[in-house]
Amino acid sequence: MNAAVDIPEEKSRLTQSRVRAAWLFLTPMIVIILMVAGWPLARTIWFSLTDANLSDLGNVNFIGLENYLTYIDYGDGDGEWVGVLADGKWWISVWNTVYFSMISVTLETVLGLIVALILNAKFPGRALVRAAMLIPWAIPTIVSAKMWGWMLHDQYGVINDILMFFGLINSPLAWTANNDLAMNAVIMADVWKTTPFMALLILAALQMLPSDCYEAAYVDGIHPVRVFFKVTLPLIKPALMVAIIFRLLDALRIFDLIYVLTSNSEATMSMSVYARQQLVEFQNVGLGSAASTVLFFIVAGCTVVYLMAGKVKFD
Amino acid sequence: MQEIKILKKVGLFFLVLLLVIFSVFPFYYAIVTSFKSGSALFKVDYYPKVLDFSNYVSAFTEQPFHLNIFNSVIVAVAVVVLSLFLGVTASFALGRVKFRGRGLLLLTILAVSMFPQVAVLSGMFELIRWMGLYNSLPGLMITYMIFTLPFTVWVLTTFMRDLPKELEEASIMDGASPWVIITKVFMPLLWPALVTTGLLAFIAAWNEFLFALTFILQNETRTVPVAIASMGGASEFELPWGSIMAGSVVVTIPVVALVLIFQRRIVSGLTAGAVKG
Amino acid sequence: MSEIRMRGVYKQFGKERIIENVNLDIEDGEFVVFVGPSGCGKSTLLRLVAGLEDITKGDLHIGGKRVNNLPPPERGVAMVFQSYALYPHMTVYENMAFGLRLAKTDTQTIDERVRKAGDILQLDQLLTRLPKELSGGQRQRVAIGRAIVREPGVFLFDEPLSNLDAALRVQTRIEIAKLHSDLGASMIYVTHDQVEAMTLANKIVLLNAGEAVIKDGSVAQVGSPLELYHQPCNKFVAGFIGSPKMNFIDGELVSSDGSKSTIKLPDGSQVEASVDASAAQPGMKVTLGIRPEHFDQQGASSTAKGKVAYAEHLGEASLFYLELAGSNELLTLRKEGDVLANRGDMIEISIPRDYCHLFNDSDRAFPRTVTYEQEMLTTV
Repeated sequence: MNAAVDIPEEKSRLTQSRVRAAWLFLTPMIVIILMVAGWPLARTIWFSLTDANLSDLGNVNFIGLENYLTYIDYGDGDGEWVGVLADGKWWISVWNTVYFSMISVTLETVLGLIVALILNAKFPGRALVRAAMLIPWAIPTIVSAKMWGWMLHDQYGVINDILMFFGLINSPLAWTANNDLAMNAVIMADVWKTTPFMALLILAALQMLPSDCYEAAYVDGIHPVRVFFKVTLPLIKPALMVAIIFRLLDALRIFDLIYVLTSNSEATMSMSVYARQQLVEFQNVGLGSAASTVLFFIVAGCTVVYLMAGKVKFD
Repeated sequence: MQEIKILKKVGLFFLVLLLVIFSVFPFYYAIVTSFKSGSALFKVDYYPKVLDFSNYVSAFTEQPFHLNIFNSVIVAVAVVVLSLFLGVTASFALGRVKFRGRGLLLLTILAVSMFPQVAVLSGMFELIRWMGLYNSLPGLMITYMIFTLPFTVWVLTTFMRDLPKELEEASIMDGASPWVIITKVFMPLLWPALVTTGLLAFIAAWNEFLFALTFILQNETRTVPVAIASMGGASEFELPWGSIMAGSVVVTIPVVALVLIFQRRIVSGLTAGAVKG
Repeated sequence: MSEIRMRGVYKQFGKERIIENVNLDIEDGEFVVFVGPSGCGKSTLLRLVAGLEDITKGDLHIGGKRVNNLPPPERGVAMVFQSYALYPHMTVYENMAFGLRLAKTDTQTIDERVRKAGDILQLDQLLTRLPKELSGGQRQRVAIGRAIVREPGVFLFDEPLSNLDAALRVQTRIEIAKLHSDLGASMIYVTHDQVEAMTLANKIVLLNAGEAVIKDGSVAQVGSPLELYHQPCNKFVAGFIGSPKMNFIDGELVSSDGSKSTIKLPDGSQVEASVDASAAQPGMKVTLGIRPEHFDQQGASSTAKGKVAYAEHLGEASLFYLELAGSNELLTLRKEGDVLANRGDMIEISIPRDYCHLFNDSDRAFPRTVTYEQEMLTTV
C-alpha cells in the first residue's frame, strides 16, 4: 500500500469563486474589527510606553517601561520604585478582581447548577418561571446596581429591614459604605444578576442529555445523588466548563457594577476601575494604558490556557 | 409512598417560589419605590400604598431623560442593523465555505469578543477624537461594534453551520451565487436566528456603560445607563432614589418585555454563543 | 450529446483516499447505477460529476468537453438529493422555477416548462403548495421536477428513495424507470440497495470499499445487471450481487482442462465446475461459489448431504441454512416455497457444474465456460 500524499487539487471555478466570495464577505467585518479592536489595542499598548496625557495626546514621548516599573533615584542614595507594578492600589485592585471573580463565579456555578436541576423537573408553569429568571439578566447592569444600592441602603434599605425582622442582625449595616461589607454587596448583586443566566445555560445542556441514560440508571435502582455525580455531571461538564470560562473572563473585566454600587472605594476597586481612574480622572494615559495592557494580557493568558487545556476545536 | 410524593411536590413548590421571588423581587421593589415620594421613601413597604407618579415626572424634568432614551434607541438600533448586515455575510463565509485561515479567524473573533473594554479605552479615545466623533452618537456606534460585531458573527456562524448542506448544494446546482444563496435561500430560514442575535446585541448595546460614560460629555447626548448613574442630588447622601427607581423602571420595562416575548429564542441564542468544546 | 468519460479520476479529502483511478464511460441515454457498500465513495463519485467536489487528479469529460473546472450549472447536469433539499419557503412552482429564473429564462418558457414537469409528475394540483404541505412521495416528485425543468443532458440521483417507505419506494422506482425511457436523458443513480441497482440500471458500476480501493482502484466491476450476476469478476462482486448471498466453499484445485475443472472440497469429495482454470496450478487454494438458488439445477456433478440449522419459510420460497461436513460456514439453500423442512432434517443437495463459480487464491474469478445466455437457455 503506497502512502497517500497531498496532491494539490485543481480547484474548480466553483471552489475558486466561493473562496473569493468568502473573502469579499469577510473584508468589511475584518476592516471594522481591525479599526475598533486591533488598532485601539495597539495604540493602548503604545501609550503604555509613553508619557501621554489625556489633555494632549498629540504630544507624547517614548519612555520605555517606566509606566510599568522603574526606579527613581533621588541622587542622595534614596529612591523609590514607581509605575503600575509598584502601586499598592493596583495590587489591591488585582486582588479585589481575583477575589470577586473566584467567589462570584463559584457561587453562580453552584447555585446555577442547583437552580437548573430544579427547573429540569417537570411542573406546571415551568415556562413562566424560566421567563421570570431571565429578568435579572435583561436588566441593565447600571439599573441593577442602583436597585441593589437602594435595597442595601444603610438607613432605609429593605435588606436590612428583612434581616432585622428575622433577627439576623441587631442594627442596620452600611453594606456599600463599610469597607468590610462592600465586596459582599458587589458579589451579592452580581450573583443575583448572573446566576439565572448560568442556570439557563446549564439547563439547556441538561435538556440535551439522552434520557435513556437516566432510565437505565433508574431501572438499575441507582440513588439519584449518585446518578448526578456519575452520569449527569460528567455529561454536562463540557458545557459547564465553557459557561464557567466565559463567566470568568467576564468577571475579570468587571467595571460598571462596582463603579456605580461602591464608586471609587478602594475596598472594591477592580482592575478596570483602576485603569479608567488613571486614564480619565487623573488624565494619566500612559499609566492607565499600562494597567489596561496588563489586564489585557491577564485575560488573554487565561483564554490561551483554557484553549490549550480544553482543546477547543473551531472547525 | 403517597405522603413522600406530596411532600416532594410541596418542597419543589417552595423551592420554585423562592427562585421566583429571588429573581423578581429587586425589580418589584424598584417599582414599589418608584411610586413613593417625600418621606414615604424612607419607610420600607412591601407593596405600593399610594400611586404617586411624581418621581416619573421628575425623572423626565430634572434631566433630558426622553433624549437619553432616544439616544439609546438610536445607538442600539444602528449598531444592531450594521452588525447583522456585516454578520450575515461574514458568517456565511465562516460557516459554509472552506478556506485557509478560517479556524484562526474564528479564534480571533472569539478573542475580540472577550476583550476587556478598558484595554482599548485610550486607543479608542484617540481614534474617535481623531475622527471628530468624540461626544457624539456616531462615535458611540463605532465603538460599540467592538462587542456587538464579534458576538453577532460568532452566533450567526453557529446558526449558519446548522443549515442543511444539501439545500445549499441544491441552490448551487440551480446556479445560485453565494450572494443569491444568502439572500434568497438562507435569509428566509435564518430570520428567527437574526431576531435572536439582533435582540441579544440590542440588549448588550442598550446596557453598555464604560464607553458611554467615557466618550460622552453632555447630558443631552448621554445614553440611558449613564443618565441613570449620574442622576444626583445636592450631595452623595441625598440621592433622588425615587426618580432613579422611576427612571430604572422606565428603561427596564421595554427590555424585560422583549425578553419575555422572545425568551425561548434568547435561550437558544445564548447557548449557540457558547463554544462547543 | 452528453456522454460522460472519466479517465484516471482520483479524489482525496486531505490524506483520506476516497476515489482511486476511476475510468468509466457513460453513453448518452444510459441509466447507470453506482452501487456499493457504505463508505465506498459512490456519493462522492456522483458529486464529482455534479461539480460539488473538486477532482483531485484525472479528467472528467461531459459531452466531449473537459469539465473539471466548470461550476455545476454549466455542466448540463441536474441533481436530485437524498433529503430532497426543497426550498422550504418557496411553493412547488417556485421551487421548480428558481433555477430557471437565476438563468434569466423568460417568464413564458419558465411557465411552460414548470407546467409540463408538473403534468409529467402529477404535481399540477400542487403547484401553489409549500413543501411542508406535501407528503414524502410528493416532495420527492418536486425534487425530480426541479431537475426536469432544467432539461439537463444528465440526471444525477443521490439515493433518492432512501427516505421513502417500502411500498412508495417500489412505485417511485418504476416512475423513475418510466421517466428515463420518456426523457431519453442519461441518468446516474447512486444507491446501496442492489435490488434498485438490478432493476433500474442498463449498466451497474460496483465500487470497492476499504483496502480494495487502494489495491484495485475504486471500480470493482462495470457491466449490465445480468453480467454482474452471472459473471462476477471477483469474490467481492459475487457476494455483493444477489440475495441471499452466494455460498463460498473453500477447496483445492485438482485439475482443469479448457472447459471444466475439478475441485476437492474439505470433506474430501470432488466437484466439477464448468470453469476454465487451466491458467492455475493444480493444488492451488480456491473458493467455489454457488448461489443459493442454483443448487439442484440440471447437470449435477456431485451431491452432498446437509443438516438444517435454520429454516426460513417465506411463502414464495424457503431458505435453509445447512451444516456441511468439514465446513464451518453455513450453506444457504433456496427452494420453492412448498418445500418444507425443519431444524435437524437432512437435505440432499446437488452441485450443478454449469452454475459454479471459481475464485483463485487472490479472489479473482476464473472464466466460466458457459455464458449466461446459454445458462439461461438451459433454465427456461
